[in-house]
Amino acid sequence: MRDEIQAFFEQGGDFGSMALRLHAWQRAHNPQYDRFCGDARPERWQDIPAVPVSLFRDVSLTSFELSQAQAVFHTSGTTSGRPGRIHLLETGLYERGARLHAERCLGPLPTVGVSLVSEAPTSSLGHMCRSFVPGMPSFFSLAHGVDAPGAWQALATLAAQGAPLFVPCTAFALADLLDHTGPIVPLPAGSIVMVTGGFKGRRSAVDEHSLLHTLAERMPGARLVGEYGMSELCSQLWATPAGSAFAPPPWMRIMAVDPWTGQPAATGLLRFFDLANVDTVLAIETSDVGTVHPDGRVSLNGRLAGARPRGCSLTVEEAHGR
Amino acid sequence: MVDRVIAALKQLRALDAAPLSQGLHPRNARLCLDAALDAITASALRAELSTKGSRPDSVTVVAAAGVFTSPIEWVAILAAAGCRVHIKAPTEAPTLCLALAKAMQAQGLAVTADTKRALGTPDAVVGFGSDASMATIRDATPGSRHSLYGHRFSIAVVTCDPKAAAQALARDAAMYDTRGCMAPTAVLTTGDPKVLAAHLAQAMADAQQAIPRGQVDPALGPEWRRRVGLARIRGMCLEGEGWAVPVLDASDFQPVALPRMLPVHGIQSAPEIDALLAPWHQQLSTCGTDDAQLTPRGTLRRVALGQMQAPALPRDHDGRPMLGSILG
Repeated sequence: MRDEIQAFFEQGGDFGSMALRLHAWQRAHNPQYDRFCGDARPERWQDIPAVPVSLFRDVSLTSFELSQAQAVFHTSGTTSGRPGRIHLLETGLYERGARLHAERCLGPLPTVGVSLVSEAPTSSLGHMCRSFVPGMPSFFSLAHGVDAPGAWQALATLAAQGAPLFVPCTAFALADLLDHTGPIVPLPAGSIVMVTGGFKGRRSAVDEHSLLHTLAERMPGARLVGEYGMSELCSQLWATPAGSAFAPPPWMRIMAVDPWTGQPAATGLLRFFDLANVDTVLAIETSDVGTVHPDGRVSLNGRLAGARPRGCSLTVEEAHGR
Repeated sequence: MVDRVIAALKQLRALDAAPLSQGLHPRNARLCLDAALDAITASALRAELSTKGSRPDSVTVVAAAGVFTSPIEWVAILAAAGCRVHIKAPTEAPTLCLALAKAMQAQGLAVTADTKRALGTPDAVVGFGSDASMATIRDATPGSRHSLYGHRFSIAVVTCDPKAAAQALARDAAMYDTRGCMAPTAVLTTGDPKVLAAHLAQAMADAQQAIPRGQVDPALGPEWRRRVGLARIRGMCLEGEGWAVPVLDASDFQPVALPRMLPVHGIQSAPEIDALLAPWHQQLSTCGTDDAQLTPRGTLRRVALGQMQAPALPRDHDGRPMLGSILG
């Protein structure tokens, strides 16, 4: 199945039939998911039973023996709940898909950069960024938050060398970086500042527009793009420029549903159907609300009202809370 | 005063209950309103008023959304006690509070209601809501006496006759669509959980037929699907239109109710129940049970199965006397 998905990445194909084949394979190899599905016998990808992300706090939902897992990513969780764990048999497919779609959306990825995301081996975001730019120094830690002076110093040093930079950060980490009085660092052409996690949080709301304005002043030349991802999804979506709708890879579909009934809705709770999720479950129900456009892209409208705040930005928030 | 309060409640009873009920099915709204009003009799009020102490002149009742009838008994007691009562109605659901105030006013009783946040300087405040809201109320009214009630939960414990227990519990779960701190969040049983679940499934289906579930908070959908999914994976889940009965290990107990979902957990002994509920024993409100020996530590109110959502009057509310909690 992994080879078939890899081939789909490279050559494309009929999403619906591939999704149903993967679903059947996962039910055969993932007994927990098979029991979750009960009597469901989907005939369209839209009807494949989607697992709420919160269920990963309780069960592993893998299609292989857990002892064989090469990587374990923790969900970003909440401040009050335990995080879920996503087990992957191997990360090659994840990395191949992530790079393919990122390059399709962003163009060639820089080979050097400065990271403001977690380096923890349990962070899927950190894993993706390291796979894009191996050896990239990080100036964020959960314990201490953003090392803004160090980050600005590294940005200035690397920018002076003239090669385009990759600067991945959460919205709150970027806000912390820009809050720090420092130099103006023009970035070389082709540089990418990637913001993920949204502009939501509990400590304070980040004003997206003022942030972008400040970014343009402090890092002229930076191209700001948005990334949407989560540990439960092996694929990512990109917004170019940041603030526009997010584009999924060809091996992913998204459906908005009524949060209570699960029936399709113009705007609603977002369910993702990701063929890259071979090792877990291809159909994932998030706690995010959004609108799916006719071209398949998705606009985010925030969290489901009443649901707990959650997202990559909260990692920085949690650091602030300590 | 008591007679005028009873007359006001009669006027309230005559209203269409559905618009007051925050989305319950009309038959459920009527059932719940009647049950709440049935408990407030003249003799019950007089018994409550026999409590000795200095009565406050003015009292603000901060009502919470959820169980639409919850302010009625408090306002009735306070008005009967001769207090000037102001109801701070929940912004998203003020209808019952406004109707209650209007009915009381029609009998010449000093009861007002609005949704304004300012609490003023009442002699006493009775409040319901989250712990954070209660702290805010306390801070905002430093000169007042307080009778404040934060979030709690309730459970049922069943030891015998699963069929009778199921019928009683289905009523407890159906009333108010399992909203409120007295609704059963789960059933612990020393018997066979699957046998009890089978009886519960039938009783829940019958209850759905008789008093259908009303509107639900859409935000509860993912949690509903998580619990159903978890039960399918680790245990079993009996489901029907408008209800679910998951059967899960006791370690999967959660002290949060969902609308007409009644999880069943097998349990062996009182110590095991106490150990299971230990993390939350300070938040435990009501235990509905057929065996008082198995009442968990920390329980503030023990009742027969089927009576969880129908609190008697007079009584202690969350372990405190009602009128007595604000007397000087």
